[in-house]
Amino acid sequence: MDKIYANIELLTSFAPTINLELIANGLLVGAIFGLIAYGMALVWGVMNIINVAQGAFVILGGYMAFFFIETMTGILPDAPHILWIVLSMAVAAVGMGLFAMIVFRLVVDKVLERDLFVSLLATFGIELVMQQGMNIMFTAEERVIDAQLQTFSFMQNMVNIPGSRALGAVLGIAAAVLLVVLVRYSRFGRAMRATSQNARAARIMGIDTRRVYEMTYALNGAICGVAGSIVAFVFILHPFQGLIYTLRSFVIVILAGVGNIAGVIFAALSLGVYENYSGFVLGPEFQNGMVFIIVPIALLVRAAIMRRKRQYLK
Amino acid sequence: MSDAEVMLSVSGVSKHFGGVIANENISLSVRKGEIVGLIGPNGSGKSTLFGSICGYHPIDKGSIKYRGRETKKMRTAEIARLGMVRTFQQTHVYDEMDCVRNMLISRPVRSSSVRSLLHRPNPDDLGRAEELLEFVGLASKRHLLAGSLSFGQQKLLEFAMALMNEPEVLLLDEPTAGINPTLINGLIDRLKQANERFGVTLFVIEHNMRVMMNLANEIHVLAAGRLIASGQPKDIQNDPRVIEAYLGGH
Amino acid sequence: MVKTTAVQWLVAAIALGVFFAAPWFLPHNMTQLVDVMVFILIALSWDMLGGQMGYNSFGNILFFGVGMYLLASIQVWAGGFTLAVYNAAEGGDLASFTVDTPTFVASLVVGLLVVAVLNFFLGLLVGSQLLKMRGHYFAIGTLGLGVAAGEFASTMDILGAGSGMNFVQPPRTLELAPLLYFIGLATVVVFFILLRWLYSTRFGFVMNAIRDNEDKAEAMGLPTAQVKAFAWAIAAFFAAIAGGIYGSSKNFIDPTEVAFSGTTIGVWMLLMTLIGGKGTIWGPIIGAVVFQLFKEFFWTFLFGWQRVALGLLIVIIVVFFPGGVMGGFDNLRRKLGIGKSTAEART
Repeated sequence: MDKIYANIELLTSFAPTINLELIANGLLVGAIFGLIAYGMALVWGVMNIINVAQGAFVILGGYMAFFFIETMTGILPDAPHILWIVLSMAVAAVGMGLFAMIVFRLVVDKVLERDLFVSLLATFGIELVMQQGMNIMFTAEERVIDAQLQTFSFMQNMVNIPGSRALGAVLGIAAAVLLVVLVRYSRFGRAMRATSQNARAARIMGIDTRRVYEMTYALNGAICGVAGSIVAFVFILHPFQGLIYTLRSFVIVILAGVGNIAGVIFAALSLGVYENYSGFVLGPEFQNGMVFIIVPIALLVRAAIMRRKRQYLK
Repeated sequence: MSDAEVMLSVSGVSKHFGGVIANENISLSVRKGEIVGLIGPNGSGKSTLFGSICGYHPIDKGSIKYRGRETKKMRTAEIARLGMVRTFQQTHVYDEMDCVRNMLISRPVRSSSVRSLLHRPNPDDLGRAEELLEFVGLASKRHLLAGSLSFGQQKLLEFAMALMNEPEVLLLDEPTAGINPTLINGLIDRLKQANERFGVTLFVIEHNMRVMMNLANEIHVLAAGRLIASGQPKDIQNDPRVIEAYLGGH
Repeated sequence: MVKTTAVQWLVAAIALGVFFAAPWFLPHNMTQLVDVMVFILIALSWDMLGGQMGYNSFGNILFFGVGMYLLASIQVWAGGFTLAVYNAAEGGDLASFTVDTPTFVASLVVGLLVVAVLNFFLGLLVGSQLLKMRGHYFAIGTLGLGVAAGEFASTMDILGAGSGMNFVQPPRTLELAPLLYFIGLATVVVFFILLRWLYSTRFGFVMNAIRDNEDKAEAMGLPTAQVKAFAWAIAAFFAAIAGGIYGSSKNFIDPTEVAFSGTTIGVWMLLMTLIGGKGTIWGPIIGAVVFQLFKEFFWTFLFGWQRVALGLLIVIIVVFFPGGVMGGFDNLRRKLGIGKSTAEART
């Protein structure tokens, strides 16, 4: 407890600039998770499927980016590193998009209009296969891409922001903006929204809902690919790291509310900051617990609000 | 009739959803043994009123009393246990169970305690269930799953289930909608029997004028969320305001 | 309602006989046999909520873990030690915390009962709040709670924090595994009889009504909130015993991997019930046994690929055999025109 008081005092009186660093880093990390959560929210909203394999998709995308960069820097060692990093995002996006499409056709398609739990189990099965598959293929060695970027220091070194994190956030936000535009204004985006609101009605209007589902899942794969390529230089790649991303984006989607796609970004950023603060004030061992406890709390709060109107979360 | 106990008393009830006013300042009462009708064009707020009465949503203003007891803060299950039950326009039955089980689960519940549930089903219930299924004409279908029945048959099952619950007041939301016209007379008969033989007070929403005129002792008319007329069926039939509401522009 | 026919009694008797005799036929697989009992308990408790009542729940993880930690603590206290001192000790020092056989056995049995009762009330408490949510949100809420519990447990030094906690070492002369096995088997028998009875009462009826159409159940006056809470409390009771036995068998509690693990016990719970057949009383039992067989097979012969195999198994079951073993029996019976299907038999 004394440690906690000391930490709070640090934040409020002794070194308030730490707040800036906590917030800034929290936002940056949150932005990256937000991208992953966005993809999960799309799949959940449109197809009512919780993609437990989300994290595994991200990591696999990261590996694709990693090996692409390795190969390219081997072939053309003098080209600017940044170029490969940006290109790797596209490579991973396409690669994971195709992978997701295959997974969809083999498994997801067959559990589509069933119990949510069935799909949960199914995607969990996929996650298990991918996890150990990657372990066998890529070994348990941790891989990182060195973005070769400096750390930006402000305020006499009290606020430090790693350049890789900043770049990751910027790229992540760019991808998110692109996505939002796509969903709002494209024909596909409209088809997605129609299907998520009422699949039967959409079918009657002539929308090929199965194709919408397939494309949504593939789009999510692409999103994970992009996120993975960012993760590769911001964090680390390891076959068993996937679940962390899955769980975080899961919490974010719950916080935002299923179907509330716009809220996902805000929820992600909030969670990033909240997590950072929890880790600082209470200690890093509390971070995970504080994140997960949000789930029942957020749901209970939302349920309580709805109960006043005698409705239920569906 | 006018000295019979007031079972249900609705006073000044208003309910809105978002910006839409569904019910505005509605007052009416239903006395024991009566068959009271509620009519009005589509969207006039009839089902909403039923929902308010049975605790499906909270009301904004007013009071609802069941046998003198304020129920506006009560939940649906509690109100049902007091003796006020409702059926729905879209049928609500237990799809995965057969008709007999649907009936058995609908036996009256007077206590909310778990202990009262921890014993085997009462064999008398089975007799009563079969009797009621016979009463609505579903005896031959009794071992079929409720989900496999036709819409009209499900309505009959729902009606039987409601009777099984031994309500004092039964709110029926469009009981003849979706029923084969040749069977409607039979249903009207059964509704009357339920009222006379089983002593159930009925409050009925109906679109079918013939049914309503045939059944009800008293009719209330809703239009655009307001109560515009109340009275005997023959008076309502000729009331210019009522005719206007149905034929007037929307 | 579940009618008990002569055939069903015979099957139950044979199954009991097989389980009873198992330790003599498979003396070297005692820990696996204990696992089977634990799995049966947890699958049955899950099926109560998920299969019979329609409330898929991960909440059992919470009680599983609490039961585990609590039992371990009770055994430490029975030996006259304090938790703080016990968990501060490391490695070889733990061997110095010994108890004699009567104390050990008594603290184990009584401990399990205490743990179960406490979790029953914990279930009522937590359930009264969480059960205000419906369906999937209830499941998700319970998952978050369960996993968070594991994370918080790993911060508490008094429980051994992240490095986990050891159960008190059993006395050298005591064979723990067979003892745990028979305690587990006895619990399974009690649970089975209890469920058989419960499902035949109006309470069981209401559970099914909640599953089929909760709104309608409420509209007809059924006390759904109370029934849900009570059902959950019963599930908590037995999940806690399962956790206690499991932890005792493994001797070591890891807060996030063993006690409150969503990704192992949590998923296995669902999978077992699915394999066996949801909403039937034999389904979870069959499912638990079959799952254990698969698991042992994968972990022994396909080591290195065992998770891939498990993942594939999950996908195959979910996609191709959603009705599980009992569902398969149904189909067979229908094809052969014998007797009633389990769906009808539930009438």
